[in-house]
Parts: sequence; structure tokens; C-alpha cells
Amino acid sequence: MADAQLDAQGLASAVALARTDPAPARAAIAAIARDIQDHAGDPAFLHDFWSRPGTAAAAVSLASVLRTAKNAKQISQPSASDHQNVLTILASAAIPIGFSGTRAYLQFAQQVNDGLAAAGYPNATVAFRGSSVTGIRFRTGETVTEDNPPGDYDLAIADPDLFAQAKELGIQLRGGGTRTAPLNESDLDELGLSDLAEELNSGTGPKVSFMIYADQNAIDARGDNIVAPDSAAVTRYYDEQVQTAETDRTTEQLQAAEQAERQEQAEIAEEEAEAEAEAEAEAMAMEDDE
Amino acid sequence: MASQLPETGQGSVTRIYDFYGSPDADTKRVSDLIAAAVSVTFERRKSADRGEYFLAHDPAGSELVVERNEIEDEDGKFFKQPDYADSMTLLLAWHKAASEADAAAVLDRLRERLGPVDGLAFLRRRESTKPAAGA
Repeated sequence: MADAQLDAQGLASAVALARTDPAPARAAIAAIARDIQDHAGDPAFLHDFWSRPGTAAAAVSLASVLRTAKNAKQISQPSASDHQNVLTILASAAIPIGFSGTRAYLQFAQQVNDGLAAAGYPNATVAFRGSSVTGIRFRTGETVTEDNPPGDYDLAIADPDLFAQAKELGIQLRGGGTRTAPLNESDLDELGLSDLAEELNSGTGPKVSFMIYADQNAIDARGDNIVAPDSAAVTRYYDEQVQTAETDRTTEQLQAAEQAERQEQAEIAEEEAEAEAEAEAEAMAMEDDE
Repeated sequence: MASQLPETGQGSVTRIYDFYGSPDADTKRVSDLIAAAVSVTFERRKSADRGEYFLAHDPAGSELVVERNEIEDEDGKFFKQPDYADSMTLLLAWHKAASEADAAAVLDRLRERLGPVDGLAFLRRRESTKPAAGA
């Protein structure tokens, strides 16, 4: 899986490089996209790629990274092939079944991240487990699809402090002492997670259940999971969306100002020409009178 | 469906959790009996971790969860509430309110209405009072 690791590292480097030197960055992104395309039928490779630290954070920057702007002027125009490369990479990302798209998924992830931070666990990592990841409902074997969404999102929270708190409270442990048993509403209250759970479960969408793990290794040991983007990744995504919108707005304003200036100059030139013509006509009339 | 849980104002919020158990291992049958006793409609839900369970909200804003006590994971079978291994089915009823008295009154009334449910026994109560979110 060394290739996946190299691609993950390359993606993060390319995103950073795009701000100062777009040409080699877009070449690197194109190479990674080709590699991803070559491994389209290789879930182990894709899982390895996306599970590398920083990959998700780098990927959420990709949509706007090739639109790098400097002094309100776009210095790197994404081409059609740039767009295709970005789409190839993003399309290979895992989003749990049931979310309408990346935005809805990131909003949910941010809600969980914020709730955990408010509860005193800002460094907790969140992963999805269960049928929203595997596509199969546990025990029944029933296939989960977009039209038949999972009942619950099974969230695996990895945080050593939160796990230690669970142990101290006497919450039952499983997995050789690396995770808790499924938590009920009273357990969540004891852990200070009631507000988060109630917020997540207040809507009409899937309900959310929680289990606390000592670390990400303990989650990985239980099989497939999707690590949700952390707060920094989600914030960066939204910042760049705003930045892109502001750049577009600034560009539009500049273009409008330039257009207005050109029009004003044309009008002035026209007025000057008219005045000159009038003056010339008057002079000729005076000459005729004389 | 929006949450039916009551919103509390600034200050503190009390949550009370009442645990019940039934020797009947058929959670659907137990949930049907509870539904008839307290006039709620249970929704069947599934969770990879928690297993199948039944969820309902009563008009007073309490939440009721009916689930199997014994479930299985990679390590084997285990009881969610090992201290109550005689209970094959668990009911967790909980309510939050601005005061302990309010929350307790609601759950006490619920407990009275659950009295006639065959085999269902009250196990324990846990309560906590914390600052309200945003307070």
C-alpha cells in the first residue's frame, strides 16, 4: 500500500504547492487522479488512501485550490482536465450512505465535532461504522441503499480522555477493554454527551448511536469505518467556499468598474468630440459671416 | 418529525432515567404492550452496535426505548445491563425538564400507567441536573 501512502502525501503537498506554484501542483494532482482511476476497482487501495491522516483535509480543498487568486486576480484558471482530475479524486472519497452529498456530510461532521468540543473533547475523532459504511444492515443482511437508508448512524468516537471517563464511570467495556458497550441515553448523559445526542437526534433523518473507543486502532480492529473530517478540514472547506465566492464577487466588481470606466471615458471622448465639432462649426459660421 | 422533548430555558436542566425490565425476550411484544398501556406508537429502528430497538415519544415529551438486554458482538453474547440479567427486554424511559420535580412528576405518572403491563418491573432510577445548553 506504499502507493496509496505516497498519493496521500502527494495530495497534501500539491494542495499546499498550488497556492504558490500552480503548474507543478496541477501536474501532481493529475498524476494522483490517474493513480486513483487505475485503482477504481481496488477498495483496499482507496481505503488506505483515504484513511491516511490529512487526506480528507487536503481533498476538501481541491475543489477551489486550482482557482488560486492573488490580489483579487485569478492567476490559475482551472481547465476542463483540472476539473475532471478533482472530480476523479473526490468521487473516490467515501461518504456514508444516507447523506445527500458532501455538503450535508460535512455539516453533520461539523455538528458532531462542535458537540464533542463543547463537551470537553475537542481532539476526539469520529468514525462511521455499520450499515452506512458497509451497505449491509448488521444481523439481517438486508442491503442498505440510498433509497433504503440505514436506521441509525453508528458513530465510533475515539478519544483517550473520553474513554478514560467512561471507564471511571463504570460503563461496561468490550473488545478486550478497548471500547465501551453500546451506550444508552443515560450513559451519554453521564459522559456529558446528552446535548449532542439530542441535537443530532432531533431531526427527521437517521438517528445516531454512540460507542467510545480508546483510539482509532480499536475502531479499525472492528472492520470498515469512515473517518469523518475533523473541524480543521471542515472549517477550511467552508473558508475556501467563502473565499472563492468573495474572489468571484471581487472579480465581478473589478470587471464592472473597468466597464464603467471605459464607458465613462467613451462618453467623455464623445462629448469632447461633439464640443470640438460644435466649436469648429461655430468658427466656420463666423468665417462665413465675415 | 421534530423532537417532542420540552425545551428548557436558561439555567439548569434535569434529566431523569427510569429503567424497567421484562422477562419476555420478544421485544416487539413488550413494546406492543407498553404502547397499549401508555398510548404511544413505537418506531422500529436498527443499529449495528445497539441492535434492533423500538423508539417512541409520549405526549408529555418523554422518550421510551425498548431493546433486548442480551446482544452479541465479535466477543460473544453479553448483557447491556448485567445487573439485571433476568430481564430479557429493557425499557428506558427518560424525561428532561427545568426542575427535578417536574421531570419526576412526569415519569411517576408514566410509571403508574406502566403498572398493568404484564411482567414489566421497575428496576432503577437515575437523575442528573446540569446547566442548560447555552446557559
